Amino acid sequence: RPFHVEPTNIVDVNDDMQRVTDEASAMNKRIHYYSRLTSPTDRALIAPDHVLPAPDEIYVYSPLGTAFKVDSCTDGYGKNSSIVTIFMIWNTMMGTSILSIPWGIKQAGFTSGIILILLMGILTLYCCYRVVKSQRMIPLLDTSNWEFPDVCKYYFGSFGQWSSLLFSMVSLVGAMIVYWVLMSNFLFNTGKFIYNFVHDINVTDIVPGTNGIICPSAASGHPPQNRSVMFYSGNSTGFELFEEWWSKSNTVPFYLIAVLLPLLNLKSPSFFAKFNVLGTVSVVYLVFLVTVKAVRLGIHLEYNWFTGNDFFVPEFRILFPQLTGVLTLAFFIHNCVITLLQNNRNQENNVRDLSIAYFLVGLTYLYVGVMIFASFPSPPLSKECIEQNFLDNFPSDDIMSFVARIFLLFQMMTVYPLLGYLARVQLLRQFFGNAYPSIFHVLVLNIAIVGAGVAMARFYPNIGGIIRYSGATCGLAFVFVYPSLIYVISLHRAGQLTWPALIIHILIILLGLANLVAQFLL
Amino acid sequence: TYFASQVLLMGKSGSGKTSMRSIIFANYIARDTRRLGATIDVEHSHVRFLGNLVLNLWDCGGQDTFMENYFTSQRDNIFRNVEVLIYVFDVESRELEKDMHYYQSCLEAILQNSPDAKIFCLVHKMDLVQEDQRDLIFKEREEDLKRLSRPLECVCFRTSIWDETLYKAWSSIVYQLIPNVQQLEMNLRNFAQIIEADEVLLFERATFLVISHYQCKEQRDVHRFEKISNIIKQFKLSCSKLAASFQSMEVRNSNFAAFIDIFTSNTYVMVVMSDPSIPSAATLINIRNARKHFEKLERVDGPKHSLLMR
Repeated sequence: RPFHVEPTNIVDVNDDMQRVTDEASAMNKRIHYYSRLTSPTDRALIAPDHVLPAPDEIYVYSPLGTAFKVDSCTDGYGKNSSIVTIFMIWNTMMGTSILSIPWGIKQAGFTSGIILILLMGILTLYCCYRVVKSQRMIPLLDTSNWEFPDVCKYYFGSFGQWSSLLFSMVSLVGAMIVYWVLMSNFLFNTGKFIYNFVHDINVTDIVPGTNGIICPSAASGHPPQNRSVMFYSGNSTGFELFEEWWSKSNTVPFYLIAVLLPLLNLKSPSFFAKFNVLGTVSVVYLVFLVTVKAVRLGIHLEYNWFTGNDFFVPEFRILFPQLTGVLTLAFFIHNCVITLLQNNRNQENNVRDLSIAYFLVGLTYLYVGVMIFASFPSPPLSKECIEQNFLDNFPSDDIMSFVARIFLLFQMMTVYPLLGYLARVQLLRQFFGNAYPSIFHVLVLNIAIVGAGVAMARFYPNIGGIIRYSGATCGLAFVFVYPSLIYVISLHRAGQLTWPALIIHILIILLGLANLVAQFLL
Repeated sequence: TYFASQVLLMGKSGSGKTSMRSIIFANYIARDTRRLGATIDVEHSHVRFLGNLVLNLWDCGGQDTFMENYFTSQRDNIFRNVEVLIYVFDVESRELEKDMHYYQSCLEAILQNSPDAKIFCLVHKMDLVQEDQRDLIFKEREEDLKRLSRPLECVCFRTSIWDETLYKAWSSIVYQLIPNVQQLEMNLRNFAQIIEADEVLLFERATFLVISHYQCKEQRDVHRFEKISNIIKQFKLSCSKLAASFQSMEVRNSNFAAFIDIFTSNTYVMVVMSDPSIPSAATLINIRNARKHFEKLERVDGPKHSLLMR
């Protein structure tokens, strides 16, 4: 989930509902009137602080970056303590990429995987720090309401605005497609589990497996299949019918349309923001699940530095850019970090809190990735078996992963309309000036997005792939290029550009470019 | 010499009287906030309201001995022909004993010179008290004041210029000064029902304090009276900058039409019609006809402070 909207504060901007209380409106009139009774220099009837109403911040955040504040306050930022801010950043960054980290480590090699997680964490943290600082470095303008895309527009004009929109949409739509694929997967598995449980079918997958872990791709050599080859004891004809109507890539993605398309058309998804807590619960449960499984399975590691064997992968592999692609999206928060830090009570701790949050996120990813990778039972199975969604490595009758899938399914169903709302607001406002021009426009957009999700679920349900492509693309703009470029330009304008600074930041930009290119080449 | 009936606004120096007057009467304050001396209203203020009541401000109990002497020697003149005494207490004052002492001397003077005067005590600057303690503190003060005022009766209000309490207190005071207010209200209601208005308000002319009102259905905003008053007073200030004087106003949109117009010699009327299809001319004619009727009402019972009756 790369985007996060303050839970209490999503309102429809076209609503005519009253934003200001009667008391506040009366006070407003009073203050206006009193100010006319004295000369401008006389401070006799200036309202003291204790009578002014608390700044009721109704705040609508759109990643393209208009942040609406109905009652703006220039100082006295926020009421959030450091702990809350850190938690919010952690919560926002923790996304579905956590499911692909073990696969990413496998693609990069164990040692290089760990090193890369640390390095990417530090690099993205530095770029995030640049994003936060960039808002402050603009001279002469009041940028307190600006988000990062506003800053881009300031430096790069209309090109900046449109390119921010494009890259924002890439990350949003990419996230939504990943969600659709995952939701189909989870719904399929949940349905299958329930069916098997209800009809008391004892299922043994005929795929290589041991001790509660299976290797779904080994049977046919390509991505997880639609139909599982399995032994079943029980009613066979009913089961075949069920398999036909409940298939991971053929039918289930379509069933989701009935549930989610109507939700996407809602004007204001603020209701769903209340389910924010499901995300945290899901991640905590995943960590718990990973710990339990690792304890049960034990550690299976073998260090082969550059060449692998049948069961193990080398420590350093040429496919490592796939991990960096995933990590770019895993550590992505650059388009809303300014907003999140704005509510920090002690602004001087912003950098410290951001670093702590990144550290905790990195730790969580590292823990999950390393645990799954290390405990994957390698003598019978090969490490290559680790799936792009590590939950696929658990057989369909495993209870713990069933519970995890249900949590994640519900959580994603509540975040999906929020993502759709953000995409809609950005796109339609940019093109039509209005976030909800007509049900027709909105329906067309939603059908397009849903269609993309369904198509991916049908033909290319490799979430690792989708994550790394979209991550590298939007990361190129928001993580690597824009922050560095803006920093260099602002230094140049202030006459403070030094050679080392220039070289380092050009290197960062080149790294981002290389990241993107490598996704396609490797 | 002629002494008009007066409303005395008294209280310790710095208790907020000048600001209060400025706000209620839309008087421009052109002075330095750090006043170097007490307000000496030697020339009578030109603020008149409700016919021929004159508002006079006096600082009571300053440190200045000159003030003290002036006050004592001129006492009889100051306290003559008082219709209303409004005494302002600063709730944050650290010298409660002294405040009460000065209050009592004023009461003595009132008892001697204008025993029929109505007495109002305002416990002012209540915004400086914590919200959960306001009722408690006000009740305490009210008890003390009522006790000290005997045999005279006083009515107490708690006020602050930063909420609606100031406006409400002054509206209540003005309401009690209108001789035939019940009859006025009944006639207002008849008027409203005849012309099918949603709401009809009667404002005092100088201060736009609401004297009486009639509404035929629940209105959402309880602060609307003060808001209208502030808006019109602000508009009057703007008009006066152009040497123009505000007389009447009509506001319309697709949902309602509102008319504010001079009514009787002491009042303004505001009529709110929720049927905007009724032409303005019709409502204005109705108002004009009602005006004559209400003027007669005002004259019959005769405000006892009207010059004509002396």
